[in-house]
Amino acid sequence: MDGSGLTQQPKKPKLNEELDVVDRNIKCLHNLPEEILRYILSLLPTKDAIRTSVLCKRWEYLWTSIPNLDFKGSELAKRKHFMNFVERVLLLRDSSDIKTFTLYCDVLRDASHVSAWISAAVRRNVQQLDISLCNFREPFSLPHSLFTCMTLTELELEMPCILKLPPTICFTNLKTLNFRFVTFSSEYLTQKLFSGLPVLEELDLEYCNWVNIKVVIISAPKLLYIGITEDTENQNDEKGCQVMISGVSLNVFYYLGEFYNEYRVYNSSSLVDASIFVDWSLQRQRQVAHRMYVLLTGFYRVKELILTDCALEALTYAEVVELLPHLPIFKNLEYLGFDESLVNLDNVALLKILQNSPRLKKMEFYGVINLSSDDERNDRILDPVPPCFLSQLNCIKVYDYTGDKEELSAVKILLKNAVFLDKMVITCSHHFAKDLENLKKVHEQLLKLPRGSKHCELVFD
Amino acid sequence: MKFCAVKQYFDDENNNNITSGASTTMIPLPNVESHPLAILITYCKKHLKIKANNADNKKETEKEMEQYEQELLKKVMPQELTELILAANYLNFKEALDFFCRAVASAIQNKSIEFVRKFFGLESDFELGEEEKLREEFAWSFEGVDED
Repeated sequence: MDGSGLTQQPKKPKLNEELDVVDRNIKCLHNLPEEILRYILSLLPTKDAIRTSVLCKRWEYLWTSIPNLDFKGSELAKRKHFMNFVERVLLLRDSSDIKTFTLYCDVLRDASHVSAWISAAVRRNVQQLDISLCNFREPFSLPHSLFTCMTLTELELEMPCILKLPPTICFTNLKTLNFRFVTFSSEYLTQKLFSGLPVLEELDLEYCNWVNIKVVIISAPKLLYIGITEDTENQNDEKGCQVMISGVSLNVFYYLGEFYNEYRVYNSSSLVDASIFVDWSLQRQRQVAHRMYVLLTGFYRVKELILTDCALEALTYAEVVELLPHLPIFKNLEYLGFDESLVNLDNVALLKILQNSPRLKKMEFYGVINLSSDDERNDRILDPVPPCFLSQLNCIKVYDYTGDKEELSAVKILLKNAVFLDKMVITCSHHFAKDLENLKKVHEQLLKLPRGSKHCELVFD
Repeated sequence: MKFCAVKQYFDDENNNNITSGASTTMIPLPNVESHPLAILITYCKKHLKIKANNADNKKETEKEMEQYEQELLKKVMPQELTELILAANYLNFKEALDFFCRAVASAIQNKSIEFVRKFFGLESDFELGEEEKLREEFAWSFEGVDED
């Protein structure tokens, strides 16, 4: 207390200095507990996480437990760096489980390396695998261990080459499977693959090829969704493959292609939605027509059906049109939709489907509907009027309406006969956006049409 | 109850048959300073409020929460993040811990090594050439990084 200011003063700054240093240490992010730092690293993209290796000695191996590894090597010019990087990372990574592993690369002559990397992920109990390989300059095979990986729940495989399957295949926990550009070549092993998916819920086959395979049965008891997009470019086989799909739990079916292969869904009582986007093939009309008919007959229990105009055309082709009287009753069908194409309302197959759909409530035309402008003839088209028109059909939507004669005729006949209709929604083609005069005329024209349903509202969108 | 450590305390209290005048019970939190605690409490209350307001609409809840989080991040300094993370960790407040960790991650994403060192308050203790070697080995990951 009595000490001179001189001795007292230096004390104070010194004390504060100490406090500052201590304070700084406590407040530094660097001093967070290791598990929190590791957690932060796991939130970073792979590249960023691994770069932290260079921060300081403490951080050199902190990243080695990150659960998600994402390697997308897109530029061929940087390929050498990329391949070295992946090799090094997998070498240093610790033995803790990997959750997701993504690898996109050009294989060239590094088939064994790539295979080893995938093997490394499998060994660390990977759950989600996303692999996209291309540019093979030597034969490539996936590691056998992949096909018996017990921890795998999601597999996405894009590999434009032959898929070499091992003798033992069992995906015990696989829920989602997506194959793109894959070629299946062994009938026996491919069949094994598609019978060894006990918990699979979602299957996507895009641009895949079946070579020297006559029949394959896809039998996954828990399958909820199947989507098939056919490769229409590399088809050599005349007859293609017969793909039988067991639909015990199936809810949704999606198909896009030209029926280079035949598809049938059996046991489809749980199927709710089916979309068949088929394209016409001028060289194989008979084949497409038959296969369209076969596929459609399996969908008689669906609630929602979406088709293309080609689907309807196929059904009216040659001898297939004679099968139409045998078309099943679509007893649950409530929604019928058509994609952006041109549907002729007097198409015999369409009329038959309408006759056979007692519960149809809604129709949607994303493209154009046409009918010849011969009024007298038109009256006979919906004779007898389909039962659904009399008591169920309450909504019709037409998109891309241009107001020409044929479209007007089609709308006219629908309005006249759908006596239960609540509303008809017409969206005019975007061509009218600038021509409001004409748009108004078109609206007036439509409003004047006689309506079979007294409470029907005409809505313009 | 979001602050799991606090919940634990309450559970313990009940086990000891102490009738809790809940609003006036004092809970000792030796490892948490008042400033970060205040922010965490506000975060928690806001979270619960947004959830209650959008009871059925999960998307709305997420959207509003995101907006609030963005605003909050603008006001928080990097140094405060350490305290917030430590506090959230101690209180076992999972959502806040996750949020602040993500904030740190997005702050350092695609930034240069020098920036990240400053952000964490570290200095390199590598020998001459060691850092160079590492940069070479992981060359591919250094491409396209924001240089200071």
